[in-house]
Formats: sequence, C-alpha cells, structure tokens
Amino acid sequence: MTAPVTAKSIGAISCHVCGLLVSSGLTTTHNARCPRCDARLHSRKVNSLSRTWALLIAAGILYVPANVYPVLTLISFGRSTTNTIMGGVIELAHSGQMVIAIIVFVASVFVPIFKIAALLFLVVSVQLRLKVQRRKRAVLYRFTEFIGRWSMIDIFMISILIGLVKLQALATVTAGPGAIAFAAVVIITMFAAMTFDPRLIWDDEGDDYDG
Amino acid sequence: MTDDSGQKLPEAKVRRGYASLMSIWIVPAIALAVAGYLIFQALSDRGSEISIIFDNAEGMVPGKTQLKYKDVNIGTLSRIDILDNEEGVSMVIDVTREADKYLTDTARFWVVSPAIGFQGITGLQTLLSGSFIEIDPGKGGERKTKFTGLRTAPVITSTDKGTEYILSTEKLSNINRGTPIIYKGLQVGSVLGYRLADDRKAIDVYAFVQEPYDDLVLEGTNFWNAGGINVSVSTSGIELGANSLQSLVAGAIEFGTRHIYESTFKAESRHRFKLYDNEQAKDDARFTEKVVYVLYFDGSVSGLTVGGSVEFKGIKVGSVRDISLEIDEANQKYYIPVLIEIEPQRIKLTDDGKKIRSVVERRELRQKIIKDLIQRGLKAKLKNANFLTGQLIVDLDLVPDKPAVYVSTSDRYPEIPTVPADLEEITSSVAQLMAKLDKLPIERLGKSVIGTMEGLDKFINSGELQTTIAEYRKLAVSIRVVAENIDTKTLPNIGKTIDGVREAIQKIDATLVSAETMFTSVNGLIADGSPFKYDLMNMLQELAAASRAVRSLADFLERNPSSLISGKR
Repeated sequence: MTAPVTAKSIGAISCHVCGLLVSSGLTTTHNARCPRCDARLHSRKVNSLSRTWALLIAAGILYVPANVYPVLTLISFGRSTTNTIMGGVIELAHSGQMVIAIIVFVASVFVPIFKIAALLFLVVSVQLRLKVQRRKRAVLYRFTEFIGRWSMIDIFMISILIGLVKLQALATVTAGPGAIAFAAVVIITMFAAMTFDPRLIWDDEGDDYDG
Repeated sequence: MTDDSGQKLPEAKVRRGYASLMSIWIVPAIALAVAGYLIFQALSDRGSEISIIFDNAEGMVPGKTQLKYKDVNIGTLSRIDILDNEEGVSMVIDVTREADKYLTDTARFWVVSPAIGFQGITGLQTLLSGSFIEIDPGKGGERKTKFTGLRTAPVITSTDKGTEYILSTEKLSNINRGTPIIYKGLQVGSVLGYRLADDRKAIDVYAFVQEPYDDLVLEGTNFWNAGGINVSVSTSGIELGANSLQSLVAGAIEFGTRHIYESTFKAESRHRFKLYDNEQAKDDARFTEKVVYVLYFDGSVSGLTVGGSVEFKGIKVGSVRDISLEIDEANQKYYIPVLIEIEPQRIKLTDDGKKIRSVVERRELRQKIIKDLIQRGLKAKLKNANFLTGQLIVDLDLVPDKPAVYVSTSDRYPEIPTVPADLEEITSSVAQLMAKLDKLPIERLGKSVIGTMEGLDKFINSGELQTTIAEYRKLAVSIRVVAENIDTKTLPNIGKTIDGVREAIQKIDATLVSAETMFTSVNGLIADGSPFKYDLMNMLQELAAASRAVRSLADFLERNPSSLISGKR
C-alpha cells in the first residue's frame, strides 16, 4: 500500500476558505493569497506548534491564581465568606450535595487540567514524531475541543449570582480575582485547542509506507 | 495517479502585507505578569502575624472575626490557641501590611461585643456581624507581636486629648471606671480607674479631663463626689437632691474652682487633688483653722451627733467633733464631754477691709475674740434643731446673768461653760395657748346661758302652763262628743260615699299599677348597660358624626364650588 495523496505531497495548497487547490510554488512567503477568494494561503496552520505551546504555558500559569484566589465573596448579614473553587467543592460535599459537588469538580477542576494535559500530550507527540496511535490521538483532539466550553459553567454561575443577589445589607455576591483568572484559563485553552493543527498528526504518515 | 496530474494548478497571488509582528509568546508573558502580580500582591498584603492573649474566646470565630481600627478592617483572626498554662487563649491574627505600624508596645486590644450599661448601649452593630477585636494603636513605642488583651474597652483611646489627674479619696463609694466628670452639669471627662494608694490608706482615682476643659482644672480647683442622692437634714428641714439620673445610678465627680483661686496656675498632668465626699464637705474644707473646745452637759445628749453644727445666734461657726462618756469612780460622778471645733475663719472682722493684718495676726485676733466672748458670758446649750427628727445642735449664746460653771477634768482643751437646755420654747408655746384661751368670749357665753335658763324657769313656774293644760283637756272632751255624734248620724251616709270613693280608688289603683309596670319596663330599657340604651347612644353618635361630615362637606363645597364638577382633589 502506498502513502495517501495529500495536497502537500503533490506540491499544492488547499485554500482554507474556498477549497481551491493552488500550486505551492509561490507560497514560500507568508503573503500568498488565493487567486479566487483572496484568502491567505498556508499549507498548515501557521506556527501551530509554537502558538499552542505558548497558550498552554499561559493557561498553566493562570491556573495557579485561578485556584488559589477566591472566585466568589458572599457577604450576608455583615459576614463575608470567600470561597476558592476547591473550597466550594469541599463545602458542597460536606453539606451533602454530592451530585452538585461532582458536577462542579468535573467542570471546574477536572476539565481544565484534562484539556491542558491532553493538548500538551498532542503537541509533544507531534514534535517527537510519534508514529503510533494516530487515530486515537485524533479522537483525543476532537474530544478536547468539544469539552472545552463546558468548563465555563462556573463563570456563568458566578455571573448569574452577582446579577441576582443584590440585597445590599442582607446579602451581596462579588466575583474574586480567582474568577477572572479561571475565565482566562478556560478561554486560553480553547484558543490553544484551536491553534493546534490536527493534520500535523498525520503529516509524516508517508514515511511509514516508505520505510 | 489520477487525471488531476495533467492539469495545471492555478498560481497563488502574492500581495505585500505585514509579517505578523505580534508573537504568540506575548500571551504567556502577559499571563506570567498577571499571575506574578497577583502572587506579589498576596505576599505583600500578608502583613505580620500577632497573638493576643484573652481570658476566653467568647464570640470569636477563626477566619471570620476581624481586627478593626476605627471600624476599618485591618486583620482577620486565623486561629485560636489555648495557652499551655490554661490561663487564657491566644488569638492569632493576620494583620495587613498597612496596619503593621500600629503594632507597638503601646497598642491595646479589646473585644467589642454588645453591652448595656449605665453609660448607654454599646457595640450594637456586633449583634449582626458578631464580635470583633478593636485596637487602640497608642503613640509610638517598640514593635511587638505578642500582646495581652484588655478585659473591657478602655475609657479613653490614644486619640482622645486631655489631661489625667489623681484624686485622693478615703472611700471609693460609688466611683467606678467610666464615672463621668462633670463641670457645671456638662460631662467633660471620665474616671479611668482607681487603685489603692502606695501608703494603703487612701484610694487614688485616675480622672481624665478632655481638651479643652482641662484648662479649667487649676491648682486651686476642688473635686467632689456628686453622685448618688444628697440627703441633708438640717435646721431648715430635709433636703434631697441629685444631679442627674445617670449620676444617681452611676455616680459622678464634679469639680469647680472658688473665686479666690481662679488666678492659680493650670494644674499639670497627674496633679494630685483631694476628692471630697460631697459638695458640703468641699465647702467646709476651706475653713482650715480649727479651735477645739470642750463642753460638759448635765442632761442627755441623745440627738446630738458628731458633725452636728455649732451655731452662734443661728449662724454656723463650727461642728461637733466628738462625744464620749467619762466616769469618775472616786467621786461617783459621770461627765459627758462634747468636743466642738470652732472655725474662726467663719467669723468676719468688721475692720477686715481697712486694716491689713498678716495671716498669723488674724488668727490670733480671732482666737482672742472667742476668749473674750467666753469671759463676757458665752455659754453653750443644747437646742432642738428639728422637732421632727429630734436632732440637737449646740447653740452658743451670751448669757451673762447665769454663773459660769466649769467642770473640766483636764486642761487639754479650753472649756465653754454650759447652761441646761432651756424650756423657753415650751413656756412660749404655753403662753401662746393661754393667749388664745384669753381671747375666747367666755363671759358673754356664760351670760346668755344664764339668761336662757332664767326664761325657762319663769315659763315653767308662772301658772300659765297649768291653765293651758286644763284647756287642752276640755278641748279633748268636746272632740269626743262631736265624734260620737258623727258616729250615729252621719256615718251611714258617709259609708255610701266611701264605697263610691273606694271604687274610684280601686280604679286609680289599677291605673297606677299599670303605670308602674310601664315605668319599670321603660326604666329597664333606658337603664345603664341595657342594649336599648347602648343602641340609642350609638345611633346618636352616628348621627352626630354624620352631621359633622355633612357640615364639613358643606364647608368644603362653599370654599371649592368647582369640586362639584372636577371632583375632590
């Protein structure tokens, strides 16, 4: 069996927007444009690996304040209670609301860590030109991209609470610095998943057939 | 491989553009900067950790209880440890960096919780928010991290400006921490505390007077206890007074400066003053000069008290110092020596304004005057000052016509001779009674009584009475004759008439009975508390209200005729 034909292998670039196959002869520069729709042409996403790396590192750094700082300050009857994400989960578990505790834990603690780890694995595996389990890695990528949005649950909850609970003297809810950091983590990991080009997983597939 | 291979692919256009200047690596750099800033802020906010020792941890919640200065939150209680010697608890508090400068050895800490006292209600806000710890930073001092908390809030904080004085008193009575200090009814300070003086004979009260009122405290100023009820039983009766309700319950200290001392210097901080028991004691204290005399009374001295006044013609010149009993066994005699203190300063000299004398001269002159008076017949006697209370005072008076009897057993004190408690008052009241009896018209009363008696006597013995009685007897006989005649002649006729009359009377009787029943029922209807009367009253009231409403409506319409069309606005 021979290696499958790709646009790259026949010296062509497929336009991302209109799908026109363009000869890659002139596309060494970054300013190549599609003759049909004027979109920028590139064979793979530009600097995909380094961009993903950068965003992953940023997400990793912001993950620390997101968990250390309180996401929510509740002031009721003059007493203020601040809660971090993990503190909130533990409090929920203690008060017997296990289901909600598990949902919050999965959406706010597990998913971000999983996303960062999965993308890290994908980037590293591409850089090391690993040849195994390409299909499973592709599934992992799709899954990562899919679950990303769900970790915004916490942020939505806090936004709704802040809007609703404005009873001044009786109770007030304000967002803490942790909430902003957490939102940034979620958004940056979504961008990281976007900048990663899954085609890179398959790029050296031809070598298998040659060798 | 496919038919595509023969086709020529279109070439890409090349257009000048900008190479991407922004590197993606800016994103992690920004993230690092933000995270770094947050961590730096957290580390820099973390001030120092202090521990405060309190008796107990009442109302303290780790993580919630706050440390406040002027109601600004400057720290949070992080944990509570029980001391190893179990003599209290140690509150470990994270203090913010800004408040670090307050943590000196002059700082004081106390717990603010709701309290109701004579001074009012404090710490009410903590009912909702829970207790908190308050700090009074003090002024300067060395840095410190281990403190001991106060049991109660201090009376003054370091921001209160004023001067502290020491008041020395023999007995504390109702003075307490926070007892107000009053100047002309205005609270100008309070008592910070008290403790036994070093000599253990008096109590030092620490009084604080706020600015600018501390200018009023001069070296010649007097402080006195103005609290409680002042009951003074004097010759003029019983006087009862209190400054204010608060001072009545919580006590108060008042101060004032007598006119002659108004030019003295302003008292320095921690100047020592004497605290007088009451205003009277303060006033009496100006008579520093005292001459003691002894008096011997023959009779009972019951009613005479130590401190009772000594008067000369009704003017107080001194007081009783001591009363005791002496028995002379050899002579089988007893004596009651009463020591009195005469305060010569109470006596003014007529030529005081004209002649200039030194203090010593003046004193000698006054004492000489008293001696002269004794020689001229000054005698002491007990006088009833108040019949209600039976209080006795010593009254001095010039009684030159009675011989001076000296009974002194020792010559320790000069003696003033006594005369027995006089009966003048009793005799005078007896005389008054006699005068009143004198004025009664006894003679005239007696005369008219005699006249009446004589008239009666004449009437009875004159014989007219006998005649009258005989006449009456005759009259009775004739009446009987007439009656008998009537009986036999006119009676049958009268009987008929009477029958008719009886019938009529019976009819009237029936009418009366029915009238009576009617009245009873009407009475029942309108009796107090009957439902009919109640309804009637209600109806009348409703009617009155209705008529009022109609009247007011009419008034309104008269003033605003347009409202008939436009409605009432």
